[in-house]
Amino acid sequence: MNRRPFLLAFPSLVLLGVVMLVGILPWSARTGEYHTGEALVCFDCHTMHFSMQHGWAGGPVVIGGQFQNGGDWLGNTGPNANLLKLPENQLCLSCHDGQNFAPDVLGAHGNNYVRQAGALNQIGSAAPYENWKGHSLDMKAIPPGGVSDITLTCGQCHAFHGSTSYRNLKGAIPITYTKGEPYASRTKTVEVWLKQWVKGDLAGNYAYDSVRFNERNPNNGAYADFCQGCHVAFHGTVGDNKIGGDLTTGGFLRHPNAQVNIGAMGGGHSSIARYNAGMKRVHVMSNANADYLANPGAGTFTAVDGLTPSCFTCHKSHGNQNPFGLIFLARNSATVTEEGTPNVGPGEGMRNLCGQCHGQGN
Amino acid sequence: MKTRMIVSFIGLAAVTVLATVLLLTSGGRTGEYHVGGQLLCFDCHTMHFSMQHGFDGGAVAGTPAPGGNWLGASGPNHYLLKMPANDLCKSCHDGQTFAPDVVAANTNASPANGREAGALNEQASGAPYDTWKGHTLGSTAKPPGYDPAKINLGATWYTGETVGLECLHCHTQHGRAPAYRNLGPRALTAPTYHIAAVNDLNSDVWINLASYTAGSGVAGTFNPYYATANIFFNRNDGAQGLKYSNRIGTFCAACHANFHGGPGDATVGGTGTPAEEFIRHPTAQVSIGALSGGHSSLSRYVAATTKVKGLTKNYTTYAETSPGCITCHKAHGNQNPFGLIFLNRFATSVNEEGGLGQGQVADVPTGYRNLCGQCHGQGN
Repeated sequence: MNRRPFLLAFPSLVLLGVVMLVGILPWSARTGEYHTGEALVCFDCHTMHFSMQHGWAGGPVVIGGQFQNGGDWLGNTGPNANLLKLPENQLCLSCHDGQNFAPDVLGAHGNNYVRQAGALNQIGSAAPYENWKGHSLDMKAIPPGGVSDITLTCGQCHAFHGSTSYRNLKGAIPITYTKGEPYASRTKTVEVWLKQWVKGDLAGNYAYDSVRFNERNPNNGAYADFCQGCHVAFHGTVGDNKIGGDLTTGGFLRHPNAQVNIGAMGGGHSSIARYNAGMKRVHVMSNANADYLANPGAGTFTAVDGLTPSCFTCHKSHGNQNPFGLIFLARNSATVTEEGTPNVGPGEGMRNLCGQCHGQGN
Repeated sequence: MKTRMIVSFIGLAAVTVLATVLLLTSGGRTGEYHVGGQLLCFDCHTMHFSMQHGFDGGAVAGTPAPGGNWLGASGPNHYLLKMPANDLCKSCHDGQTFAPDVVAANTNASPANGREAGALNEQASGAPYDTWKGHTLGSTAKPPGYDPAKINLGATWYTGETVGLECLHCHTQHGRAPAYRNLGPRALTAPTYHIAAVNDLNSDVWINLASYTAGSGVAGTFNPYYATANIFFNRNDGAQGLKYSNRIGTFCAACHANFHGGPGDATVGGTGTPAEEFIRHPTAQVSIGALSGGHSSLSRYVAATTKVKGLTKNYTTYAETSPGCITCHKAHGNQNPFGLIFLNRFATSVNEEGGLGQGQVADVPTGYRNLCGQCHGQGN
């Protein structure tokens, strides 16, 4: 038998198998976010010499304008550190502000969906996105609960070149996620269930209703750990000097962001019945098969289901039009906006938000 | 014909329902700041004990400020409080002009005849609000007469011997809509109240005001709501472990059960009908003057032009008026021992300590005789 054809064919077969295997492997943390893999092209953001007399196909180059497909653009400010076409935040905003092909994360947007993360603001932002309503790009300050000054850039939180975490978030503990699974049978050993990630479908990918949060670890939350990277004093363990209290009687020093389940203590504490009765609910961490945002007014969760509030329960990650980026969502709200219930002041808004789980004074 | 009747009936029914709703809502459902729409979470609570800016983007004060734009210096505190519990309550209710001042001297002008509840004291208060003149915030002393089992409360409901007397031992901080002054504990039936120019004898407390809107922040507006002159206590007999003629008495018994009760209760004793030979002064179901001879005298009480507050259903003849706890004591305290109300029957003026008669000099024996003399002629 002539072995040569087989030997020649074998590497090809192996390669084919590898390609097939890669194709079969779940895309969960390897594809589906633009900033990883084949979607991200170096010249989208980088320029070697801060010079482009012509484009990559010989055509014109847009100088000083916004991002252009195919890399045929260059910022008007440079050269910049890390070979960037624009200073860091400006570079990110060249795609992520005022565009319809990428999620708009700064201030108002025209892409017509309720953003899960809300909206950043920037130094000098005017109403209704003032600096005291969320994370402020370019601002140098000690984060609330933090220790040292930082200047807020997109890269403080997000990995430019992608990561295995939800929304390419940084952090020592990955915020793992799945995409496209049916909710009732979803993988619960990850932090986040993402309804989908389809390139170009901004609403389907990034809306408030496109995300749910699992409770992979009943004693902690990777999301809260991530936030704690800057807001050190605001997260910890029940009984420690940051959160304090105990699981039986409460008495917390700061609002817990993990471990503590709605309605677990009974009495004058949180009420799962109250949460269940909400027509519109805030996000929580949940491993229940039933969808916590469904069953308006008639949720069937019990304390045993272990619904747990975390940072994103009360705050938009980026911010919104409310102080502290708080989500002033009333349980009987007619609509859900990035602010929760629209057009409510802080007094009513806080009662709305607290009232999602707490009946005291409501 | 039938159509007209049906239409009329529906109209009458609607009017009746509306009237009923209006009647219900003028009782104990509004008019208190700590309930419903008035109470804002951020007045007292902070989620992370951090406020780099206010809820309006502005500055953050170190003492209570409108809109929740303040944070205490000491924390974080349990229950996400902006300050330790009593300090937090006092941050509004002591030394402020926008809320009733309940500790020691009144920052605001005195309401008519003084604050109905008088004044709390603290270790630091000093004369004339010494700690033996009323309820002492922070005191770890066992309440005098403490025996909660007598009114069907758990033996350990009161935690003051460990944490010190707190405002929250008596008042429910998040409000208790049907309860006069948000009084608790919740295991006891609330003393009800009624705000109107006309008394509702079925409620425990009548606040004689045509109307009241809480949250004005102006003493001229809230003073009448807390004025001794405007508050009356109706008599409605019942029992919760011990007899009462007004649920205020049962509330007091949560801590002072051995001092409360009516004829036949082991706490006050009494024999016969009407009862006499009490072992403690009754606080319920004993009508002034019911037993003639050397006992209390209704005519004496009626003749007084400045009366202590009896528990009554008849504000003209005062027939079947019973003494209660608040007849003799200010609920918080005052400048007299035990918070007693040393009110002469013909006082020239009335304040939180009572009032002296013509030519009287203020001292404890005079005051005590004034108080007892409201109802008792013996030795007076």
